[in-house]
Amino acid sequence: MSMTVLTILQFSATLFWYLVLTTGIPALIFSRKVSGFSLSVRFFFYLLVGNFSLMNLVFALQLLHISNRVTLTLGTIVMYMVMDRLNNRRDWRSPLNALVRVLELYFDGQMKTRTFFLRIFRFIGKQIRRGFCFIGAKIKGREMEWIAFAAVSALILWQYGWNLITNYAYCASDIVVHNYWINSMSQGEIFVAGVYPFGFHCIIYYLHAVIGLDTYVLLRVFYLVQTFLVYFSLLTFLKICCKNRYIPYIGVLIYAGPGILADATRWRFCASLPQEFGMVFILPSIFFLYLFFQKKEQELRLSAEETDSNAAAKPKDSFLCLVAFGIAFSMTISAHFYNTMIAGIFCAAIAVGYGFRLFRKKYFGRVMLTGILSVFLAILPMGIAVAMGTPLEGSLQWGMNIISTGSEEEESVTETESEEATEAESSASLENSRSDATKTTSSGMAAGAGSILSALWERAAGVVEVIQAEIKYYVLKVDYYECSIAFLILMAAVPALGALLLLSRRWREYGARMLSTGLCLDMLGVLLSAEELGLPALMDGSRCSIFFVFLSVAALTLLLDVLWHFLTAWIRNGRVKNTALLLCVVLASAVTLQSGLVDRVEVQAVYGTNGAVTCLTNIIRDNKDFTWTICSANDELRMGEDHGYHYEISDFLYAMENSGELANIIIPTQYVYFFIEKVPIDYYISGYGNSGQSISEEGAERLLPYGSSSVIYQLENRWIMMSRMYYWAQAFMELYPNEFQVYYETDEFVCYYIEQNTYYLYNFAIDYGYNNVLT
Amino acid sequence: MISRRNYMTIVTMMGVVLFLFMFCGAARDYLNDYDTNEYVSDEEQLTQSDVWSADGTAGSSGEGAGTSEDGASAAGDESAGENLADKAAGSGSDTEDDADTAGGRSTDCSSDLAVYLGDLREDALGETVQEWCLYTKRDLVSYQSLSSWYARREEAPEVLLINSEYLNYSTDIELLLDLAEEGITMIFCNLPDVTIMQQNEELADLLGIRLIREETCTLDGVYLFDGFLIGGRAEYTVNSEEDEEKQDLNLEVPWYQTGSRTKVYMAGMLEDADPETDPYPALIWRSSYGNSYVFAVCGDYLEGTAGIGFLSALMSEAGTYEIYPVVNAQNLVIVNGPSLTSENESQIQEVYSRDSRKLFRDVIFPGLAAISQDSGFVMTCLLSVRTASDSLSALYTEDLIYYLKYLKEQEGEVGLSLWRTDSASLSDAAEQDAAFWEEAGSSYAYSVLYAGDGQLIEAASLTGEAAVGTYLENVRTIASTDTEDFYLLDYVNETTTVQGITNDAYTYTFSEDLELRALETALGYSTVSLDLGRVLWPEDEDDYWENLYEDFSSIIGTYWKPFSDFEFTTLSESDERVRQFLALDYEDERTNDTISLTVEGLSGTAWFLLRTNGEEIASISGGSFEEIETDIYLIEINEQNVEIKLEKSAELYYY
Repeated sequence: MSMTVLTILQFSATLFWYLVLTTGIPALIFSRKVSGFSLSVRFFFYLLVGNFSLMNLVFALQLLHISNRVTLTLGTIVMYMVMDRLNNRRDWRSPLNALVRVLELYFDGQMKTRTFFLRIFRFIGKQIRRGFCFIGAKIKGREMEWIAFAAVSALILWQYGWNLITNYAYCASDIVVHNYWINSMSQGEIFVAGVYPFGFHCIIYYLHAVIGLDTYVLLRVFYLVQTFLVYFSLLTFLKICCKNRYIPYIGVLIYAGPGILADATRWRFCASLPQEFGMVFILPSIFFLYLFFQKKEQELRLSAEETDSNAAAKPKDSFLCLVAFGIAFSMTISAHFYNTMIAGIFCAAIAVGYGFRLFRKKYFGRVMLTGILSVFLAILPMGIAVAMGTPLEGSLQWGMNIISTGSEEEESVTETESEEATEAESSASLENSRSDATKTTSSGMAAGAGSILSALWERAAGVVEVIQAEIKYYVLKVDYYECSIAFLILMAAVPALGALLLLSRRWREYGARMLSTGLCLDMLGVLLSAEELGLPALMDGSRCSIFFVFLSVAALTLLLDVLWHFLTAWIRNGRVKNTALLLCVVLASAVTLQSGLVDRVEVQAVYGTNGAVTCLTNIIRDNKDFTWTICSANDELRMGEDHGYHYEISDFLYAMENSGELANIIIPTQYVYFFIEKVPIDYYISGYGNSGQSISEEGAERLLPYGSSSVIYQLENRWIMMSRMYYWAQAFMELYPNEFQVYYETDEFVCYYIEQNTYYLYNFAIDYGYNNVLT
Repeated sequence: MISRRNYMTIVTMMGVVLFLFMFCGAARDYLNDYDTNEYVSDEEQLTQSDVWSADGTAGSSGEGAGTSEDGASAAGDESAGENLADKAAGSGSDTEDDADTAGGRSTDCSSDLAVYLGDLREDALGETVQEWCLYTKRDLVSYQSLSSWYARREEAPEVLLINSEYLNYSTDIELLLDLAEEGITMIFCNLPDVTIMQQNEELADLLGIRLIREETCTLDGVYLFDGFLIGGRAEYTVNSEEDEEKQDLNLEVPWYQTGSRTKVYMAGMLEDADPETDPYPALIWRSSYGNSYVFAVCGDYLEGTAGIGFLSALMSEAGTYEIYPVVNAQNLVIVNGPSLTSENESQIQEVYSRDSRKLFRDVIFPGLAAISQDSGFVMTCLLSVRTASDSLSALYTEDLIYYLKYLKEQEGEVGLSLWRTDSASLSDAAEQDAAFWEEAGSSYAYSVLYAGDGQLIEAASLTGEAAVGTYLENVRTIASTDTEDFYLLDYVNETTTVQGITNDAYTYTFSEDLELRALETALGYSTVSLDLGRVLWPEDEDDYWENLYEDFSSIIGTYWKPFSDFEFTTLSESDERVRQFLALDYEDERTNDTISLTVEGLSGTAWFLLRTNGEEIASISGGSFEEIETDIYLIEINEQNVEIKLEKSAELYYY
């Protein structure tokens, strides 16, 4: 079986089980309760409930140190059954009794095997038919919308899925750290490196423990699941906000499509990272808050008009929206604090946009209580861990430090190295323009002594200039710098238009949402430029740009929606209007595709070779657990941790340095595999690896690099290490030509293996000609 | 009241059932062609003249005692050695005073040459080396001084086998190092005394010895590693009281710790040692030095028949592949019983409450048949007319017919035993039995004769031309425990072969296990004997059948399982295979992934063993193959030219 097919199957299994466990089962439980919402909103309600439940289940079991497949499975069943009991008052005894009765009949011999299976198949068939009927009913009358949805899905699959089948290794340097943390959860040790938002880790660990897929496999393929959901959350947000049916698809196409945006705004979607997982919950928290204001208003109006007691007894949609908002906001914290930051900024913007409602008695208390509860629920597991003596993880301390001091301390950063490297790539001219803009801002501030108005104007102009420079720097590709002005216009137009619409009673709801979105975008613009504006840099620019673009698209779509609405106001026939819009969507898509602005998302770097992952997959399949060791440069340490052992190349070479065969290198497993990159990979986005530099005698002759952590595997050091290993392998093969064999080889990678007798292990230390043996 | 119609139906049915049962028994009895030996073909057999020899002429197999009229021993005297040296192809040693040759592959290719540093005639290792070369069709040249061979050598040998007693440590180490640089494979069939090793660092380095931990240590057991000898890994340690009886290996060895460049095949076991930090004493290992492999054997494992197996296994570790002929025969031979008369009546009656005839028929043979069916072995029963020369009891021809029929049904074979409990000579016994055979008038071709310890030469004298006209004239092979004067598989005269008995069915020690594995590795051959004479003439309770049966059934049912891919045969079948094995010659050559095997002297089917290193057979022409262990294939060939295509084993499942 090819790795491509295997990867597709692994992705399909991950998607299926993730959706079944986090959406499918909650759908069965809550479908009646949320029947008043649209399908996409319901989907996100289920997703939020499912993720929230599973995350907290894992947290609870981990903190009790009883987390394993059995407890997780039982916990899931009990938890969902309790939910079902509370929501539907469904009596499970009846179907269970029926099942027991059938089994009794079968095992008593009163029912033949054929009849038994016939009944089972009939039941399954009935459910499948019901499922198809449900889907058919949903599609009927909205065929074009479903086609648009399918087209958008296909586009996302094409853009991000390609990476799935072409790069098997991790596409972000810190995934291996997350891999380690998740592996530790299997050992019953949550927060192994300190307290950290573990929502993402809980979900991956849960899938690993319950489904049985390896963590490294999940971390390879899960990014596509979460990317789908991020896009789908945007689509749902837009569908809720927009007046026109097809405009949201334009929004998603805009987000998926344009090649004008810097790679840094999208490449992280090719990696299974907590921040991107947390992005799934940002917009749901917002649109559920929007819906709360909307539903609450309707309910208040209704309650004022109606006196029917039955109506009052119905479940209140506003309450469900508030619950969903709380869960979503909570999960932004559980997944990654940056997401909370964005969601918080959006909430602040909503406070302005929906100020006319928020500060009313019926709203304020509920919203604030929900917000506080959601934060409390998210922080509770972490708080318990801290109370039990677990320190904060390094990056959190760094974050705390920034918030408290407003300055960034480089040494405490554990997760931003790759992004910093990206910054180094930027052109010098842009640096100059950024510093010029900063000077302008400063001078604008200094000139305030002359006239207050002109000083303020100059200051505002300076700020805008800085923001424009930062947009150029972080958001746009070099060739499209002129588009930065469009972003500025967008940042000004959307809140302005929103405020304008707020004045209209008919458009008040829409205006509030637009104003909130526009204000949030403006605040993100400031956040993006915080460092240059002399404000505390709560978030580094490259990360902020991801959110900035995400919300820019939302704002732009709302703008387009309004414009389209007013431009086509003269068309009375709604069908004609929709058809015209659809044609525009198709036309716009065709033009965009034709212009080459839609391309596959290229990852910034791949932190391993396909050969290494192929070998690891085969090694796990071919051998019993813990009968093998992989000697490689770092990543496989965590990837194969549940199945085998790892030996660092650096330790291997250091042990032989200067001592040759007098050293003692014993690896006590039956099989030992050596992963050697013939073309060393580019481990920290330096461009070195992409130079095509391959292992050579020249590399092997260099002094063996020494240093801490992964520095020894970066840049030229990796080349030297791999060159040394390669020539060691050649020398060892001369000594053991029959025993030391090639397991797998490509132009870039080679894996050797040797089978050992565990009663008499090989000493791998030899004089391989480059280890400067002292004689 | 039953109706007439029902009555008739019942009677008819009973009649049909009765007929069917009776018919089966009657047909089986009637169709039992018991008086013919189906394992003896009328076709002309290969004889000693057909045996492959070094110079391509026939008849010099093994220079065994029986081959020369003056009774010269193996390797003959000085002049015999020189004559052989003259005949050796490509040996280049015809002018050497201390040179001797034997066996060897009839090819001009010098890489098939084995050089032995030692004395072929005097030391046990020499005999092993000689026998191994005969079986593997290698040229063999022997020198007693390394320097003399080194000075006169013309071409590099395939392997240099060293008896370290013949090394001159002051001069030969340099030469050995030079040879290692040249890429000549060396096998140290034994190691010098540990003090010599301590004094010669270069020698220790050559052998890959990193540290001499102790001059002598007492092992707790011996560990044979997987993939070396056929049969897999084995731990020879005492874990129970029974094991204590089995432990007969030499456990006093120097503690050599090997370093990098080495691969260990057999090691001693020590309870307190941790293999991760404190490697066990190495017993058999390989060292990569210069461009060659240097194998070392610490102990006397190469002495005796087992040595040929170790040598074959070592040679398969020296290259990418090794192919050599094997016999492919597993035999179970029941000797010295049953007798065709009632003997030792009082003791047998006392122990078993029946006479010996009933003991054999009602107790022993049903048990043997059950074991035979379970284990897969085919019985070759070498019956005795009588086991005591002075036995006065009547001889029962009907017993002969019974056993012939019984063994026919069991697909076994009947042979003869002339053993007497009173140590009468075989000639006397043969003469005494002649009258019975004349009277019995059996036309069964008794082609197998049994010879006990020290009886082989005498047995040989009763067969062949000497036996024409007697009831022994059909004897073609002798099963013997006597390995003094002949090789394990050899000719005792022009037409009669000897097939050595390799195991006693009642005892099984660790060294016997090792020897069995070695023989299976080298020859794919074993003959296990079950002596019913012990049952008939018990000396103590251990000889009672119930005790012997327990031992025998557990031994046969356990230790031969790993070798079940080799065929179970009768001795006559095996004889044909031995003749073919001794007669054939072969050449092999590898081109890329294809091994071309050319076999000469093939008159039917022959078997080879192919050992690869991480490769598997993709296809074969001119024969068929069966994988018996990882990287070990049994190849059956029917044609002179065979092509074997190899491929890298275990393609990755995910690619």
